[in-house]
Amino acid sequence: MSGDAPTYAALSDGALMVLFANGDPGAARVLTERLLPRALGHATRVLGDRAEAEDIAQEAMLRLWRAAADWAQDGPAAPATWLYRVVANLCTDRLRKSGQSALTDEADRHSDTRPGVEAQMIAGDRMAALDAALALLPERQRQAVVLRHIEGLSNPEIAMILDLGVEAVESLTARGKRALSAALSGKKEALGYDS
Amino acid sequence: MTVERDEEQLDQLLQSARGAVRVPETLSARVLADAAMVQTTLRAAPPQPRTGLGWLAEIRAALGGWPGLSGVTLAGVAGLALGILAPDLVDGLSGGQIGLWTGDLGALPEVGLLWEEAGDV
Repeated sequence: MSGDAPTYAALSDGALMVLFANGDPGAARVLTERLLPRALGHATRVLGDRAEAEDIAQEAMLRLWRAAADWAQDGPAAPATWLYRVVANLCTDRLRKSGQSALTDEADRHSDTRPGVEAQMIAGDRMAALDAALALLPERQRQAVVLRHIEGLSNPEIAMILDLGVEAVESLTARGKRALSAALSGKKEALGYDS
Repeated sequence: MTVERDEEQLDQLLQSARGAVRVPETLSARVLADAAMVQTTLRAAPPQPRTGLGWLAEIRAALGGWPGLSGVTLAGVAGLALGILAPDLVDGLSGGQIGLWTGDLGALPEVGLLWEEAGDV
């Protein structure tokens, strides 16, 4: 199949969806390689729970496969945007069922037995420190910040995913980033940055 | 300048978080298994029903298509169609006899009533 790899690489996600619906055996593999990391990354950072994130990522991909039969290649949303929206909604549902908005509420922070922001930083684990800081944000802010600054999506794309106006997205990402900065400020040494 | 530097360092931290999530092989395998299951379902989906002229197309098909329709049969089918679809026209052509005998049953009279022995068209 190595001869086919360049062919798949040149195809858009939408074109691969159509191929998948028509029974192409390689389209699913390529779509999985492209999209599953993004779904898993988004869910992991929003939920803060790897096992739940894997469940949600698998469920979202299953819905994507089912949507392939009716997929319009020139439709309003690219498969990735559509997938992010499903992941965002599944995460929201999961957090609401567990009664969580921020993964770490202000009132629980003092009694939280997990390593907090400062402890993670002292351990020199920058990614874990970022995750701990993200966990402090309200759910919608967290989703917006993750989609904008980690997944690298544009504000209009995020607006479509979160079913918000573009200005609302800009406000969420700005507030979320300020909150992250506040949580991480003063810890530059632990993060390995020069003062 | 300190604020700008903080922001720059946060941007770097966020940037380094991109693509940092590793997908376990077990998860990929489950996702691909789901894909194979859905593709199997798509292949097994029943064909869409034929669309055409509705019941007239079905009659035609039942009689073996147009070649199966002899002149007499064709006239009979056409007459039946005309009587059901345009009863007023047919009634008019009959001099009002059909309406009289069927009791003015309306646009879609029961076919069997047209064949009652008491009435003779």
